[in-house]
Amino acid sequence: MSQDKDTKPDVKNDTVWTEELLRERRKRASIMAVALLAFIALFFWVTLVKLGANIANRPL
Amino acid sequence: MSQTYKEAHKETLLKMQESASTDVGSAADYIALMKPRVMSLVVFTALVGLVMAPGDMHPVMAVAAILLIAVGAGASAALNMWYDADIDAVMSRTQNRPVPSGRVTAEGALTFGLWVSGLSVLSMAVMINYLSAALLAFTIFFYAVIYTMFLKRRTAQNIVIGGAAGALPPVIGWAAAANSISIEPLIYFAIIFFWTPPHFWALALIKNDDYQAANVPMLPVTAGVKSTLSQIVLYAFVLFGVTMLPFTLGFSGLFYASGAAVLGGIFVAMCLALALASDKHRNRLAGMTFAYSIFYLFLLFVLLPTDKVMGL
Repeated sequence: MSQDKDTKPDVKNDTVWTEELLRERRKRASIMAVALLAFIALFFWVTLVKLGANIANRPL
Repeated sequence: MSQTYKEAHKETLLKMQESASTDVGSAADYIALMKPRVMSLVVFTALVGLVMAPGDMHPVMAVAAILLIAVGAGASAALNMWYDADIDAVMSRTQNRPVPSGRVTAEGALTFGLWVSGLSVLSMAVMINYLSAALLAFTIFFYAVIYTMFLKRRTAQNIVIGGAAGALPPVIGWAAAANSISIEPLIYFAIIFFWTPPHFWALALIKNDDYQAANVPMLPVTAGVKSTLSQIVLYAFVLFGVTMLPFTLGFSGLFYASGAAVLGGIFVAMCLALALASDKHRNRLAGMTFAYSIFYLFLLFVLLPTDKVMGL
């Protein structure tokens, strides 16, 4: 049974997940992660610009 | 749109859904969904609108604004590809797009388009200002709903009215920088608005058979080649007049006016040559007019900030 699992391609929703497709999917997920991180960085950066000097001048 | 065509539309969509039940699209497919070539012109014209606006914008804010406009434009393109998958599958120019080719499911394109649209508009509101966010939301809505869902399959004036969506990016860029709208960005809007019909009709002349097969009522399909050529020439003359408005109204100088006059003169001459061409040479001239129109718009939007810097 376990041997079958090793040799048979992963089939979900009629799609045969070949090694190449799985590699593409991993690549897509990585690019999405990088894009999300870049977006977070942009948000942070814009926040710093908007707050400007007020960051240093806030009351304690 | 006949009932038969509606049925054919549904049938094609069902077939595509059956053949692509799981999304196997790569990152490149999702980038292709955003029509990067169209996006580059959107980014460029939005940047010019932003640069021409009064006041100083922090470079980080400017980068964020342009990026969000690009992402919003890409999202509306994904929504367009979701809805138009059935006609894209029929046309040679578009049949290899991610949805008709089955690499991305129609649902995948819809989900991606909706999420990215929402993200870009909300981020624009939070990071930049409400005016530019509202304009970006309107642009996405106009392109994805008004143009794609209503105009494209119903009227030969589809790209005339729909051209408003493509003409808005410089207005959004201006609004992002100035948080207001004045006559200048509206003139930039008018330039792109009147540029769009001759640009797309030149392409429609070459791809007439494709549009006919897909039952898209482009002007050459509904009114014939002769009428389309007259309209192309008419719009080229109107566009020439509109491109002179920045000089006439006094917010661009002689450098812009002389450059726009030369470029516009060439465009009018090309459109006239296209209208007078024999059947044998028409497609070649239409291809040249289409290619030149892109170069023409690009240079017009290079001339505007260059003229401002030179101050002539």
